[in-house]
Amino acid sequence: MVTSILRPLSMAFQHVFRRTFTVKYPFKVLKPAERYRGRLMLRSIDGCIGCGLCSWVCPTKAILVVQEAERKAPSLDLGRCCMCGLCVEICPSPLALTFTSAYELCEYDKERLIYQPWRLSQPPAEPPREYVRVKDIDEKRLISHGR
Amino acid sequence: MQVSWGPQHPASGHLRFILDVDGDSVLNLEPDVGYTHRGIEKLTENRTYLQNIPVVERINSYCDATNTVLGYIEVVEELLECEVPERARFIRVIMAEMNRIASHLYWLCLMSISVGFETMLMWTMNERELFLDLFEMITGARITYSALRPGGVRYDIPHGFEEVATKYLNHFERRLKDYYKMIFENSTFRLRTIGVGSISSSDAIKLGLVGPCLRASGVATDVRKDEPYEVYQNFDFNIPVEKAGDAYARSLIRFHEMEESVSIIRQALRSIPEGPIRKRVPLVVPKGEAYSRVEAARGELGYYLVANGTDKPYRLKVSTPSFRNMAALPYITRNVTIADIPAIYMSLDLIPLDIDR
Amino acid sequence: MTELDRNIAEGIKSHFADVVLEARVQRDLRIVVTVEKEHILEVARYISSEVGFDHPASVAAVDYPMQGKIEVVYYIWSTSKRTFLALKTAIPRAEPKLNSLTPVWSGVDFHEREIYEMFGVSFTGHPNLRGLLLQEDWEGPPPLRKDFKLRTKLERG
Ligand code: SF4
Ligand code: SF4
Repeated sequence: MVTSILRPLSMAFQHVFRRTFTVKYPFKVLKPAERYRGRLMLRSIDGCIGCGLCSWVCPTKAILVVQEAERKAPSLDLGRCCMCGLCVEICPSPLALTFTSAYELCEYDKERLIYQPWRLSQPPAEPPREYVRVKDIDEKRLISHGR
Repeated sequence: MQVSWGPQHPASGHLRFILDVDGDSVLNLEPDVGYTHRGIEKLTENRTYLQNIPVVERINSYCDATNTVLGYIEVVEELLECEVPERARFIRVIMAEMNRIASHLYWLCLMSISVGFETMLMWTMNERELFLDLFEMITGARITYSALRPGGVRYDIPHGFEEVATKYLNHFERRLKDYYKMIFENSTFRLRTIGVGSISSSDAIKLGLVGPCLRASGVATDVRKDEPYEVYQNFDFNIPVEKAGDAYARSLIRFHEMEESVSIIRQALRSIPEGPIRKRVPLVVPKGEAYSRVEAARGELGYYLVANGTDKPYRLKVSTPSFRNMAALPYITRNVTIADIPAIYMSLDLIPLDIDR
Repeated sequence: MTELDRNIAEGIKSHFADVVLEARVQRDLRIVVTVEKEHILEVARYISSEVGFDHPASVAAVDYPMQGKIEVVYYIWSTSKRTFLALKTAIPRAEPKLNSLTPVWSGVDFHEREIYEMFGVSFTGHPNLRGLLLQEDWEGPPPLRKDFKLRTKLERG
């Protein structure tokens, strides 16, 4: 009885001396994986052929193909997008839709969530800060995201 | 006296219990569900088969997305009668088992805080993170993957995945031993769960319980063995079965299932064949009906699809494991004390999202 | 396995020659038995106690407004025979009434409540036939019937 309470205590106590697993978030951020599906981006407006397939396949109707100057191009409602990737998969043009690794997508204004084509073709702004990646797990069962 | 428990209670999730109590003992419990009802069965009737993948994923998105979609993919593929490349089937199994572990870790976290054990909350979240990292490597998403497609999978396993996965699995297996010492040998946890909320095997069958809840009562039923889907017949694994049928037995089953899942992932990584990962399939599903069963983390998950020869389902009925396990709740809470309800509820691993659809 | 399935299907068919409309094997581990709606309770009693289908898996309803019927399907697993059976019946859409199978399989309780709510099928003999998922003051046609239309307007510029 007593040992079964003391042993977990001692096991938990060992963790006091280990390095932390969490990251001090706004100052340090984890680098997303290579395939990370963040905000959508149009590689270039000219790359889009205006076929409208992305709008057809989108399950949440987040994409609407609108008239942009002389051509048609997609506009995105981020409030609806669920990052499922169906639009990127179906897009026939290699120069049009793609994912970026941006995941801090809050806006103060609902209107700003709607990305018109020109804004969709801008790469997301990256604030200057430190990226860390999962480090090795060493023999002493330590796992950490770096210092 | 009637007491309302939830839907904003930390130990109930988005689910309400109406308790008839006499002093401290519960005379009757009635679950009142539907707080997260999204009408997914109706939504699927208005979307194409491809668009339905992210939709059905939301049935149980934050725990068990792969297994939930796998059932849907199975039922569509049965009507399409399409061939699936072998490599894709292995990737599906790897993802499904990883999701089972992630889901059980999530359950262990909830179970341990419901009995007041907050260390395990931190530990399990820590290890679940590793599996979410692996998912991020494969699919680019951490919770809702949308990675399976009729006719294959969308994403191939990336370069170097095997080493990372092996490293994480080794680490995880060592941690599982710690978990066992930490929680299953802990006298407080045992006092809170042994003999609490027990259900006999005949009742469990009659009520239609599934998954770990059924196996904890001594019924060895697992869809992966009874009706092997994907490539489960290639792997060597056991189905943990317990006799007692109480909250402790249910917890122990899930713990052993994590060990089995690790072994399945190892075998799959070792024997995964090379080759294509996806075949083109038509958008239109021929007329017909089919019922598919997969073993999700919470138990058997069934999809009943009626197709009418268009690109949208005519009717898609989902029979979720939590919905079926909920039937046990009024039975096993008769004459328990109120303080036992969190442990009983969490040991059934009910997810309100899964119940309500 | 298919041999066992076929034997079960034929056994049910021969036992209820005039009540069971059809008993066939759809594929491995999928037996489909179609019965007349008046006799569903006795057929269910027989297949649960004599044939050994004891583990209720799902109850589904499908609405066919053109044919004026609602199909109700019970899915049952047998823990002893290790096979899966669908018990099907059709009821008229205008008067959706069916004998509840809760006396046979108590696990179908919540499933039947869901069908009652979503399709308006009333199950006679159900101990507690009330709504389950929708809000208490829900008004309108049963939502999973085909004449319930979703609003799908997209409101943005
Ligand atoms: S990622 Fe999915 S939800 Fe988002 S715009 Fe593309 S198809 Fe629509
Ligand atoms: S983004 Fe791609 S799919 Fe969408 S309209 Fe342009 S080319 Fe077509």
